[in-house]
Amino acid sequence: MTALLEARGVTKRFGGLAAVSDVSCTVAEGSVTAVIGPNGAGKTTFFNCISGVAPPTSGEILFRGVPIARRAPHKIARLGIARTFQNIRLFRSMDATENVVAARHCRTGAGILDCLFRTRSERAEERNSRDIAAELLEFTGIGRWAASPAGSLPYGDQRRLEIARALATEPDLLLLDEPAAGMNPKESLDLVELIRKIAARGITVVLIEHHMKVVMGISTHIVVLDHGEKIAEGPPDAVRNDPRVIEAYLGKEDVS
Amino acid sequence: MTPFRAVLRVLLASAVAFAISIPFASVRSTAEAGFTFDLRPAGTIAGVVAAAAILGELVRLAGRYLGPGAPRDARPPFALPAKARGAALAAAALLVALVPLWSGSGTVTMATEAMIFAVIAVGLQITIGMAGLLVLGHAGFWAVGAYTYGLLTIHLGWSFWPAMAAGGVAAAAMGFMVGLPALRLRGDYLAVVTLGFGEAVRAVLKNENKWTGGDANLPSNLVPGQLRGVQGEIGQWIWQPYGTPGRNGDYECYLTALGLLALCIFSVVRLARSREGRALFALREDETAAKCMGVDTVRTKLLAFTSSAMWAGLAGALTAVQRDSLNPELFDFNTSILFVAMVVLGGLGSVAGAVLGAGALWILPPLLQDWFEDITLYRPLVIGALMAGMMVVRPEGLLGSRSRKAAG
Ligand SMILES: Nc1ncnc2c1ncn2[C@@H]1O[C@H](COP(=O)(O)OP(=O)(O)O)[C@@H](O)[C@H]1O
Ligand SMILES: [Mg+2]
Repeated sequence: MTALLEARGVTKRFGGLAAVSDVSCTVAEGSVTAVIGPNGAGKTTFFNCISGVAPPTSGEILFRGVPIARRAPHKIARLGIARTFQNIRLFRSMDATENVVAARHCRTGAGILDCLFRTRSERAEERNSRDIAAELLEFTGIGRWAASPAGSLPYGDQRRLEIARALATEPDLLLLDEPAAGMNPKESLDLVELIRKIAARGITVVLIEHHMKVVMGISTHIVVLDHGEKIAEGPPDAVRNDPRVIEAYLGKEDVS
Repeated sequence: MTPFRAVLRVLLASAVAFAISIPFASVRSTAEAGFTFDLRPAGTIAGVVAAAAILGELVRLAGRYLGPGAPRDARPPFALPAKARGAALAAAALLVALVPLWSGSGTVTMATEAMIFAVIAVGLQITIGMAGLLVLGHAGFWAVGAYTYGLLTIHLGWSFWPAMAAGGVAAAAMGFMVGLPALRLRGDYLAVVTLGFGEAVRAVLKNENKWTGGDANLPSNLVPGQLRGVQGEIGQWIWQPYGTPGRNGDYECYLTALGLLALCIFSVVRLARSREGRALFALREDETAAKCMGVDTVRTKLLAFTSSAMWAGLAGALTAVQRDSLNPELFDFNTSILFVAMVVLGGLGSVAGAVLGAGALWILPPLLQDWFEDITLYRPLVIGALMAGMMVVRPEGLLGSRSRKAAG
């Protein structure tokens, strides 16, 4: 397996605080990688570095060997990295379909004149985007909400809509920030199933997750952060038994 | 929304208007007769409010299918087939175009002004309503268009159409330049910067005496009838029903304003329901998420600033023709606030709402002047109260989508 994403000494400082400190790791193509660690460990900040929302203070990030650490978020999205947000960031007053179609911005090219004159190519593009949106809403199991304002969806389905929207950008790498947060056990199980289906589509997944059942159930590789530093990395079984991990994080919880 | 509840809302609105207007409109104290009491003015106001409410309910219904974020192939159940709709629209436009033939010149002037304001409000909807960028100095772009037109026609002898286009281009360029520093600002800061821009434009126009005439006005309408830019036989044919030009080319202004408004509505509606418009709405809803979905926020914001300013500039050119002269004070901060009020009243992101807002805030006060003699004096107060009231009762505006509220 080749490395799809490679972080080299990624550091992000907020004033004196190093939220992410010299983190290096690789994400293999086709893998499901989990990033775990206690609250405030720097997991979300690491995602922000990768997606360009908060570029790293130092270090480099390579996507398919291309340096992306200082690129604008919309360019990174176009390269094939999509993400969801821990604190849901949907386009709340737009309906579910429009949310997904809006994310097609990445893969469509109609300019202002195409939009005003509704050229043949613009119309074809729109039709295609709507078809893709309908398909993705079904795929993520929220087809019945197609015409509902995003903000009015039940919490769990808002998280699913975030995933559908991210998928609409046709990513090679999908970053999921605590997708199961606030879900009940049944919903979490369904989510694991969805993530499996996404991986089966050939999309590499990196997810931040607290639910150990979710993490152990689907990840092929785990990266552990604590106080901004990477303290362990490896396959689930090895990480589970790593003494540093147990001390820093898992020791406080039921590991199974 | 059942029809029953819509009827109830209309009745309630007119009843409230009736009750409120009695003490103001129906009771008069005069020196000779003491207090007099006449219910008719209050009844008229209630009637006007009822008519407005019925119109509002209709447009609101339409708004569920045509409003912000509605999929563009959505059609109301009672929609006419495409051909019939086109015919109906054309007939309506023709009817409106013929209004000057039988209405008085005062009505024509007022309608022209209202349409010019509607163009500005619909254009402002792009920045404030769609992209969520609060622009408080929009009168500045209006002024740039008006003075560009005036200066080019007076000092360089340009004719109407090219000078009008130049007004739009100049304002668009100004919008682009104001947009550049504003890119890094959000919310209140952006509002302050644009406000400063508007005031700066006014100050320059006021203090520059040689070209703009400063306080002494720029005599803008040196060439009445110039609007008849279409010459020859075709031109004869187009303008012939309108007889000789009015004093200031009133009818031509009316027609051009109508055409500009139609063009403006058409293109902003298309923009709203296209890839670029969706990017604007996404920007308003969540800038970070929009970026991560591939929206180039710099480009999109500049597009909003530029196109929004362009419409104000085109409208400004028409204002320059329509007025006898241009005075910098016309383009002051109060006017900018009035524009924002039109957009907010109608509903953020709603094109129909902006037209309604412009009409309501420009036409209603003079109409009500018969009953409240000092109403124009109180306009800022009324607008302020209206805005505050809207925030409480209908934060999404008259025609805005309800979904934010539904989101809980
Ligand atoms: N924009 C910011 N400004 C200042 N500090 C921040 C910012 N974002 C995150 N932090 C800090 O960085 C640390 C890591 O936060 P975060 O990445 O959200 O942790 P996690 O997602 O692992 O819970 C926390 O101490 C947090 O307070
Ligand atoms: Mg986090």
